[in-house]
Amino acid sequence: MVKSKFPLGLLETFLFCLVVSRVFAVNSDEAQAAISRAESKMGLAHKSVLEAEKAGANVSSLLFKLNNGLMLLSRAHMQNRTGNFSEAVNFANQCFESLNGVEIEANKSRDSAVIERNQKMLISVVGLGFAVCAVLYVGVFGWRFFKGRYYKRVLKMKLGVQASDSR
Amino acid sequence: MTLDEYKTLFITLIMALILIAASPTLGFILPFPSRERFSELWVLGPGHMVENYPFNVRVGREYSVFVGIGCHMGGSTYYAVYVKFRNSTQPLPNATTSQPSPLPPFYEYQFFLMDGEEWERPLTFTIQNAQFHNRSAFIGDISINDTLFTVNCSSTWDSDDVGFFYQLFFELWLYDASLQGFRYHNRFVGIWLNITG
Repeated sequence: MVKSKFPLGLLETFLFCLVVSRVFAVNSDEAQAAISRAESKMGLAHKSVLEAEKAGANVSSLLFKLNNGLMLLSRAHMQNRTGNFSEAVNFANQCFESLNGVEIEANKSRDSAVIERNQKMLISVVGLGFAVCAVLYVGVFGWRFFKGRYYKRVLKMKLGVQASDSR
Repeated sequence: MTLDEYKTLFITLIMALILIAASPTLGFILPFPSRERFSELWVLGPGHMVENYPFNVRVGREYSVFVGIGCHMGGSTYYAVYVKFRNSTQPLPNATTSQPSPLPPFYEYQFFLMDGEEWERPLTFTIQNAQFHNRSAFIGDISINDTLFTVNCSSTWDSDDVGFFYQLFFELWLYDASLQGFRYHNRFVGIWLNITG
């Protein structure tokens, strides 16, 4: 009885291991899908960071996060090429998770950069208005003052000429 | 000078002052002319100089080079560097048609660079699983930065230059947001290897 149970137990263990390995094995398609998912998220994060940068935000901290994600994505690609699909999925998922919140942060940076830019522009336009008024005011009064002095000088010159002619 | 001449001088002076005062505001409205946008790609030898590149390469021995990129694209740029391996008859990228080499990459770097930034990484490689038969050679694997890749690349004996010649080359690609993928940036560098047993 004991003798007949041993091979049966061995067979059961073998079948269990086979089923478990089949269930948890990762194939090329799954690895590719995980990489595509990570790439897609990277593309969206990159787009948001570019928009923030165009709006004038400082994106160096966001680029640092993106570079960390890219390092993981490159590893996922290479593990996929070498046929190590479970590691490829692992790195791709790590990349995906590392990009969580980057888009939101980039959008916040973009919005605050746009607000800051608009405020700066408003201050600049108001400042320009004052500056133009000041220059025109100084110009008009300066011109009047200069014109007055000019006439006085010219009149003095004429008197001087007449005096020399009378001699 | 007559009064009219003084008047012209005065108006010119006032206009110039107004322009100077308006320049910060004009910066918000008028686009500044952009400079030329380009990227640099280089390979340096193990001493971080343009010399002593690995050439006569022995199977199983480790060699190193440095790969670098300089970004002058006017903003942050998403780069990929694909490492490829070929024999002397396999195609290189075509600079005229801006087409990359059709050979598949076996190693890659991906990274972001801001305008004016540089990126450089060491790359160590070891030729493994090589076979030599009379006038032909077959390279099975290359280990790059301690990761083994299968290349399966054969070559015939070059009697003019005396050796089995292969090239390890690096292609520069840029991420194109409109394509949602990478496009070849029409830049590549490579080093020739004379592989011996």
